[in-house]
Amino acid sequence: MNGADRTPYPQRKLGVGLVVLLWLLRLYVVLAVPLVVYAFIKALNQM
Amino acid sequence: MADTVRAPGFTLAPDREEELRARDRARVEAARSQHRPLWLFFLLAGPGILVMLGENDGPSMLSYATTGATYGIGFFVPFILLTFFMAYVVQEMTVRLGIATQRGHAELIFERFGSFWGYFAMLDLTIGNVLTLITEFIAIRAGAAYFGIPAPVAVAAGVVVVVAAVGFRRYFTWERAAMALAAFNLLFVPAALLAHPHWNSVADALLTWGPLQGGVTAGFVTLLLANVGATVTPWMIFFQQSAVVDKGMTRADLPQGRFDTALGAVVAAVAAIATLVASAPLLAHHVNASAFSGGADFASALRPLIGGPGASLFALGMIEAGVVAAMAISASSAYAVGEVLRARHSFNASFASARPFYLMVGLSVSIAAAVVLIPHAPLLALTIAVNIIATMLMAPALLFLLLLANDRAIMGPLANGIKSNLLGGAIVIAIALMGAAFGAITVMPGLVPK
Repeated sequence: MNGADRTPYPQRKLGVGLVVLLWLLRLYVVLAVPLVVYAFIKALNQM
Repeated sequence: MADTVRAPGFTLAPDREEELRARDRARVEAARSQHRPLWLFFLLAGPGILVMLGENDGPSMLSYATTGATYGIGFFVPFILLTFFMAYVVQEMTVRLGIATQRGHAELIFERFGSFWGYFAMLDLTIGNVLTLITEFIAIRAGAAYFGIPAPVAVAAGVVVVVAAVGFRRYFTWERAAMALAAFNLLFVPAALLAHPHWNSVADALLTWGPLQGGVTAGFVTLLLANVGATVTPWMIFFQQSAVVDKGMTRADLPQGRFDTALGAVVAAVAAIATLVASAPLLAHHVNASAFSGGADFASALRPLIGGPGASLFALGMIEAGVVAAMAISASSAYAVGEVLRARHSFNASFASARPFYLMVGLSVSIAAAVVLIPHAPLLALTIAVNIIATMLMAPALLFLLLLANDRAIMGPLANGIKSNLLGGAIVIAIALMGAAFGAITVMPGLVPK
């Protein structure tokens, strides 16, 4: 069967630990995105 | 050639994609039933070798070259071996995920964690892929510049190769074309031999690995992160899992899938270390690599030290690194887009039935190629930055990989065991800490010496 025709898996039920982990991931992203943008702009401006 | 071989009693599936995949599977089953292990491995090899050699891409080889020119071989030869071991641990999980679920990574995140995290993972992948694809064309342009080939010609040729490989509309053909090109990654090995390295120093580096003399500096941390980003990146996870599914690999193929990944890691590590060794003479002759603008500068600077043939091999290797990675990265973007849109996403599908998939391949390489032709871009700084960004983006991608690989409802007996979780968890923590170290140095530049 090709990928487009498969029945999707049901969404996973998230426990408390997993929800906390995903919130920590959001925090990481909030901190990392400005750094990534900064690193890229700094690289662009090095010449 | 062997396309026409069919297993006894085998009937053709109703459409092109399924028919071609079924033909490939018939050859695999025939090889297995005839007890021809080498032929079986030849048929099943591909995703692992391609993902590892694909990651030895333009920015990666430039990172290794900059490392060799800045720090020599002492600390980083064992470190590179460690990063490829990390890459094997991560990529082996994607083989199991693909085989157990027969789904790509993007669609699994959407299905199991919902659309928020699905779009988040897509954004993670897209940012990394767009930036990395640009740097692949930088490598192609830089390598070609050494031979005096004008940038527009080199970049256009790169686009043609990527699009032409897709044009066969056949996964097996695409994979073999990419693997044939990827073999040229080993051009860095003769280049290293022409640098006449002191093998005692290489052996010594491997046997007596310790902290770098001179302590931790901002430049050291940057190159450390760049070397990690040169080995593990989000596109590798998405690509290998989707390729395993597109190839139609099953539970019985897991040992070959693992060996394919391990072999790819070993060959890629050899090429990476060779690049480091080939560039090490620049350190011995006090050449400042930080002033270079790309691969052509490395090749030109190496020419008086390792000779014209060695420098030419180095430049050719840069072109290969860019082309193969452009094929694999554009494929990972195309697979992910197809999975998210629930459209067909296979190199076996016809153009008409998988428009978003094929469009994504053409569009992504065309945009990257166009960006590279913008004059006066700081190419080397950009390529190092891309590897650092890849490391920063890797922590979330690894976390989802670990969560999915532990999801027994979809993985069944192929779910992660304790060993995989310990190693995978340690890698996530190490990469997150390196990202944090980079963040701390960026926010507080005075934290470590320059």
